[in-house]
Formats: sequence, structure tokens, C-alpha cells
Amino acid sequence: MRSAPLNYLISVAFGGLLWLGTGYWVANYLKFNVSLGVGTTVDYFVGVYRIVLAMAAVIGLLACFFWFYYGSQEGTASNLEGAKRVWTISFFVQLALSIVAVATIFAIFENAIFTAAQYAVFFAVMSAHTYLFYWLCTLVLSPRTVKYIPWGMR
Amino acid sequence: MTRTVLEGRFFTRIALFAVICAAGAAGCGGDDGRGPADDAWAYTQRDVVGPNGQGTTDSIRADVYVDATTSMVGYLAGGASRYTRFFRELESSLASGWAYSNLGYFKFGSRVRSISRNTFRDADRRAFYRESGVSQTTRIDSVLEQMNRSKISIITTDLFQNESDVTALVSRVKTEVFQQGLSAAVLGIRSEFDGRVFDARVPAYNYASTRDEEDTYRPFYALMFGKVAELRRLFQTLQSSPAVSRDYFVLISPYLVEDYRASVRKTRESRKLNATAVQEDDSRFAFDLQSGGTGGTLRANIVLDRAPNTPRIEANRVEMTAYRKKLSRRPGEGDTTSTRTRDLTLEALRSSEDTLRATLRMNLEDDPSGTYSYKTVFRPGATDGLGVPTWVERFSSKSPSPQNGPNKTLNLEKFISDLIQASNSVRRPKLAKLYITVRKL
Repeated sequence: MRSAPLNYLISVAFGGLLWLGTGYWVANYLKFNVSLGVGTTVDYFVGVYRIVLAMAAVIGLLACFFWFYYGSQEGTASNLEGAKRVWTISFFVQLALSIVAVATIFAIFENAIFTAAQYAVFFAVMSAHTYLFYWLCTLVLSPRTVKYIPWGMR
Repeated sequence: MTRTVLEGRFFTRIALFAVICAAGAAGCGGDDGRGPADDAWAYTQRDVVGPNGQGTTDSIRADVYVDATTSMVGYLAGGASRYTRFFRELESSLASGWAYSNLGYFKFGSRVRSISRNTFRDADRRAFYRESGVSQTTRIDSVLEQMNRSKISIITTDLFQNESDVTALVSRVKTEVFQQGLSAAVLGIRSEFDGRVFDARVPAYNYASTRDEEDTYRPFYALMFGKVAELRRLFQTLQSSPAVSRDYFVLISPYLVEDYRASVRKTRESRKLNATAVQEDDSRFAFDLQSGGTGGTLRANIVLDRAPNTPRIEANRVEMTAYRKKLSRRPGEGDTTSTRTRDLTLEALRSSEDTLRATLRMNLEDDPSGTYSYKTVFRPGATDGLGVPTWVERFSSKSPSPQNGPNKTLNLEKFISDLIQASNSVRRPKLAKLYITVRKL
């Protein structure tokens, strides 16, 4: 499970499942509950939401791929401190990306009125596709040489 | 070896799983639970915009009725007036505007008499207006009695009528023209005049226009009855005549607009309402009313492409009627016929130029969840919803006399206004139709 290409494929499948859940069920919840701006249609809102979600998911997936590749390199085993730094930076980049993704949606739909719960849903969904996805995938699927680097493994 | 086989099976399962997920996502995405909305109405604009150029053929069949009473003699004005030229230009316009023209000629006054083309061409001579039994009184209603409804009827007259004449004539036009699905048009032509003006509220008086001073000319009229498309085409054809001004024409029909574009949006305050679909080409709009919502406010912007030379729309009297159908995917549960409803009401309406800005109030408080389709029809007010063109006001007088508007037409404004009202009462024009589907969640 921690060796290529299995870890790649499992992360793709997991990312796909996650997108299915958030891109359909969560989208449906939002489309029937958000209060959109005057000239915005529900279809447009859902379309933009799914595009932003897909971009976040792809970036999260690419970050995982990078970690799998980086972790499987021979030189990485001799520089675990460096690897830890790479993983941490990548994690926080993902965290920043999730905030950017949420901000992007708010900027596009600046005339919409979102409740506090809906703000939380947006952030939770984007988090699930970026830094949480990255953390979970690297926790379970990291190559053996770097398997103890993700937080929570020790 | 065993490890490779096991890994191969695992990869196959993963791939299969991914395909199932993708198919599931695609399938789920295609059905978002939106109710049926496309089969609710006929979605035609034809009853609003009319035939718009369709409905005419290569041939025209028209009857020309010339008012041959003595009051028309003044329009001869020495023999070379716009009035005398009009008859020749009318014939040539009809001949050039249609591949085939079939014209009948009549003179009328106290009675109506068919005449030959040669006699018609004598309309520029005084003798034409001295026929005993014809020249005494103007009976336009007798023309209406015998006109052939399958043809265009063109009546040239000075339209000088007292109030009771106007009432009787309009009543006859209503039954013989509007109730038969035909339309009316009035073309005013200012012509040189030198003669006596009869039938005013003052004794007959002499009046002579001044050469090249159009404001002193006295108008005569071509009153036309026929199908709206043919009347429009006839007017376009007549515009080639130097005597005819495009400004002095009014077409009275159920069609006041040639096209319209509309947009409907919710207001920012209507938080429970979201737009789900916008098809501005068809004036179709859809909204979701979220659970717990009772309604909201919609703003409709309707840009009218006004049909030229039609009565003025009094914007402050525009009315809106809404019809409702409940839609359902289950057979037998939806409405097959529409009913008038107050779910959608017109709260306010403003207009600028040819744009109507309507505020619609939606109230579905008492309705259960479901999909409701509304057809909203905007019409001019039933009474005083339409006004006469400004040129009619300028040409008209309630009492022309030598001192006050000697060249104006007695009761023209009342006549046109009553004609418009009569047409409006038979078939009220529509200005726009909007289709709004609301899914109450």
C-alpha cells in the first residue's frame, strides 16, 4: 500500500470519492440553502463551486504525488530532517490554499449572503481536499522511508 | 510471481472502483431534482407581436372609397393639390408594392356607388363632387355596411363629424372591423385647400391655405380597414408618395410591440429565493423558493420594441395578470389548465422610454411544496390605457371656426381615441409575457 503505484492509485480513488461527496451532496445542500446574489443562478453557483473544488482537489492530489515521489527517492532517507521540513511546508501551503479557495468563492459570490454554518461548510470542504487530504494520504500511504514524518504517526 | 498476480487483481479492482465512482458522479450530477418546466405553456410571442410581416401575399385586393360630398371640393385647390395627387400616387403605390393589384373604386356620400377607374380619375374635378343623391351628406357608416372584409378598404374623407356621428361610426367600426378580427388605420395628409368648410359648429365658412405654408394646409384622411399585416405593408408602400408623411399615421390593432426582451431578477432582500435558470430569449425564468420561504420580490425589466405608428401606451395604467399551473412529474397530479392567481402581483411599475420596470411580489405562503409555473401578461389598462398620437391632437379641434383653428378637423381626437378604446375592448393588446417557474422546496 505504501509502494508505487498502489499509493498513487489509492489516493486518486480516495480523492475521487471525496470529490463525489463534496461536489454532489454538499453542493446540493448549499444550492438549496444559500442566498445567492440578485443576478446569480444556482447552476452558476454550483458550477463555480465544483470548479474551485476540483482545483483544490487536484492541487491536494499533486502534493501527495510529489510527497510519494520525493519520499521514494534514495537521497531522502539520508536527509529525514529535510524531508520533515518539506512535508511541513507542503502541509501549510495546502492550508493556505484551502483559505484561498474559500476566499475565491466568497469573492466571486460577493453579493451572496452566507450563514456562519455555510462559511464553516465551505472551509471544511476545501480543507478536506487540501491539507486534510494531504495529511491523511501521507499518513497512510507514504513510502516506508518517510512513513514516520507525517504528524500523528509516532 | 504470486505477489505480482495479487497486485494485478488489486489494481483491477481499484480501476473498477474508480470507474464506478466516476459513473456514479456523472449520473448523480445529471439529476438535480428540478421539476418539469418545459411543457407548461405554449411559449409563443405571436399573440403579443402579431404577424410581423407574415400574412401578406404577392397580390392586393383593395376597394377605394372617395368621399364625394361638396365639403371635399376645397381640397382640389385649383387642381394641383396633395389631395388630387394622392389618388394617382395611391394607385401607383399599390401597383408597385404588390406584384398583382386588384382595385375597386367607389364614391360615397349619402350613398355608396361603384364607379369605373376613369370616373375615379375624375376625382380631381369639381363635377365629381356634385352628383345628386351623393354629395349632400357623408355616411361613412354606409361604406362599412357594404365593405368586403376580405379586401383592404381605403376611405378618403375629411372626417368632419359631430359627436353623435363619431359615436355611431365607432360603434359600426367596432362591429364590422374589430370584432371581425380586422384592424383600422388612419393616415392624415395635409393638403392645400381653397373652399368652404361645412359641418362645423359654426356656420359654413370659407378657408384658403397659403401656398408652401404647410401649417395652413387642411388635412384629409385615408381611413383604412383590413388585416394588420396588410395595413402595415400598405403604409410602407404609401410612404414612397411625397404627399404622405410617416408621422401622420396611426395603426389601431391588437399589436403594439414588434418584439420585447425581458429580464427577471430577485431583489437582494429576497433571501429565500434563488434564480435557477434564465432564458431571456424566451422570457423564461426559474427560481427556487427555499424551505421555510413564503415568497419574495422580483424585478422585471422589459424592453419593448414598439411597433411604429401605434397608439401611445400610458405606462401608469399598465396592468399585469398572472396565470398559474401546478406542475408535477407524476401523471394526473399537475394542472392541465391554468387559473388566474394572485401568487404574483404587480407591486409597482415605472417606465422610461420603451422600458418597463416592474416590481412583482410573490407570495406562496399558503401553497404546499411543489413546482408552480406562472405566465404573466402585461397589458395596457382597460380604460385610458392607450393614448392618441400627438399629431392627432395637433390636427383636431372640438370647434374649428374662422377665428380658431379653421383648418383643423372636428372631433378627430375623440374619433381616434374612441376607435382605440373600441379596439382595446374587443381585443386588449399584450405588451409582454413572462414565464416564471417557482419550485417551492
